[in-house]
Amino acid sequence: MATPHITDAAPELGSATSSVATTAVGQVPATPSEQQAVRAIARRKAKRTLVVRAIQLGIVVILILGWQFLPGVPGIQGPFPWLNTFFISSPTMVAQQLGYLTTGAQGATQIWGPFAQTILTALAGTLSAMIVGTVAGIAVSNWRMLADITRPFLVVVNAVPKVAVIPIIILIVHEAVFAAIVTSFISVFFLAFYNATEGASSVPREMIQNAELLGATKVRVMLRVRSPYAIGWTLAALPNAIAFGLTATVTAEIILGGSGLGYQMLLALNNSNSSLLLAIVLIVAIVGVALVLGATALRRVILPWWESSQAN
Amino acid sequence: MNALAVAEEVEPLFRARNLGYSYPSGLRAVSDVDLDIRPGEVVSVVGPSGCGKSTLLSLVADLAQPTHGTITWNEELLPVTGRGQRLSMVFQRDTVFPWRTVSKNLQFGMENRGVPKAEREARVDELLRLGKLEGFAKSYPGALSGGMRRRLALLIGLSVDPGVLLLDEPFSALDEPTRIELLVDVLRLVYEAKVSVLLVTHDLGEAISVSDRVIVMTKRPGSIRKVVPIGFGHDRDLRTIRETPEYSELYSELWHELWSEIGS
Repeated sequence: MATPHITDAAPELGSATSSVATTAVGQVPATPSEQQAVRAIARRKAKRTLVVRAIQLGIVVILILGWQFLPGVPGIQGPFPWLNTFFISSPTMVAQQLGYLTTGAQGATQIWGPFAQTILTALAGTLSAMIVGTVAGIAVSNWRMLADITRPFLVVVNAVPKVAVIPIIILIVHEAVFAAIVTSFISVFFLAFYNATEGASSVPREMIQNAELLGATKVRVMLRVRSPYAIGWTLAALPNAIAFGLTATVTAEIILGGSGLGYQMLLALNNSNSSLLLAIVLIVAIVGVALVLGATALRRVILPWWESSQAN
Repeated sequence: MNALAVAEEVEPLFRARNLGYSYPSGLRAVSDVDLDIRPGEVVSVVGPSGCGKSTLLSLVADLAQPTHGTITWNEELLPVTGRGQRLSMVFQRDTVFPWRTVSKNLQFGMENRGVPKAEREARVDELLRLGKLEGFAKSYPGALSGGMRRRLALLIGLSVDPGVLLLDEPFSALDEPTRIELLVDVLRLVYEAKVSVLLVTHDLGEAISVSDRVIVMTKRPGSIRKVVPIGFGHDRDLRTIRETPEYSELYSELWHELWSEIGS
């Protein structure tokens, strides 16, 4: 663990270089000067991290202060007409709206209902699409004939922007929530499907031959070798998929109306209430980050082997 | 002549006769190979690159079907029933399953053969001890070093108690010290398991170190140019063997054969 640090520190140590080599190879305890060098490097690293964090924080503060106070600068709306609280609201107003949304004060709609609605819709669409897409992908990659027949259709359907299909979906499925689920399903399905076919067909030939030599039947090769490989590829894309699913869900809600955070955004837009709109956008962003982090954590639980195998 | 590759006195595990393989394009990869492997014997195949060494292994493993000749397995010595099986193979490419732990990887072949769980786990413990991988049963292969992964691949090959273990340049990607260390372990494992080995390698030193016989193949289409017996026996010490005059003589002999072949 300390080996790279010691290598880094070698120039500073001058004549101590030979004892450094001993430390790296045999487990000879580090001399005080070596320990000092290691600590110095650790300190430099910590300092660097601190500087990075401070700059990041500074950027956020400047953005918020600019957002708050630039619209109040006299004459600024001449060159920048959009620097107007009517359009961009202000941090304090957005914070106030967030307060209303979360508590239901001042007669605001409590956000928790639409909040849960959107999360559940996105999860339902994404997870069902992941499962169906993975199974379909594995099936197709196991039957060459099926793969050859379906390929041109899949290429065409995949190239069509999913949002363009939403009006057709609402015509077919009259219920708004279900239509939103179908939309996110369609968006995520192809991602899962392509990852699964790609994964299942990229199993090294030798791995399959070896499984067969170890006595695995064709069915076992599919269940025990191709499937885990494909599932690895699909689940690796889970954080991306959930982001896709959320985007599709919110878009569908905006277009369809009736439920979820997207619908709340539509209402705020219709009332020209930019503070409310931005407050909801902030909530959607938080939902997005939370879902992606959750998906990454879930991947770590389901695929404990994935990250270490990627490192190799 | 070909009969040089065949030892007559002990019943072989399999007999390959006039073995040949042509690609669908008509290109001949292997031609007229006679090869017997006796129980417990370690045989290496060396030859110019592209001479069909790996194809020969594929034919023995039944991963490709010979277009000429036959392979006859000794049903008496190697019945296909029971815990053991005829052969297993360690490929040049990593074939360890990354989604299975070390222990689960070692159980795969036994699972396929319906070996009960308790028996599988006992065997895994034994294999881990033999392969110096104790303490890694629950690790995923991604956490192992290159040398350890190769050792795991080898143990997986041994897990099904094969009659013949086929090794296709399994150590070519390792650095020299790791390779020697691994070869020492391989020989120990192979001698203890009394398994026969057919090793394809491009490394003459490796071939001499581990083998009872070294087969030098001709250029494509590969056939047997010469069979060189290696008389070191099974109590050889890999660390000192390389400094003996016999080793140097054998090396020169193989080197000469190989270079005459490449130059011809």
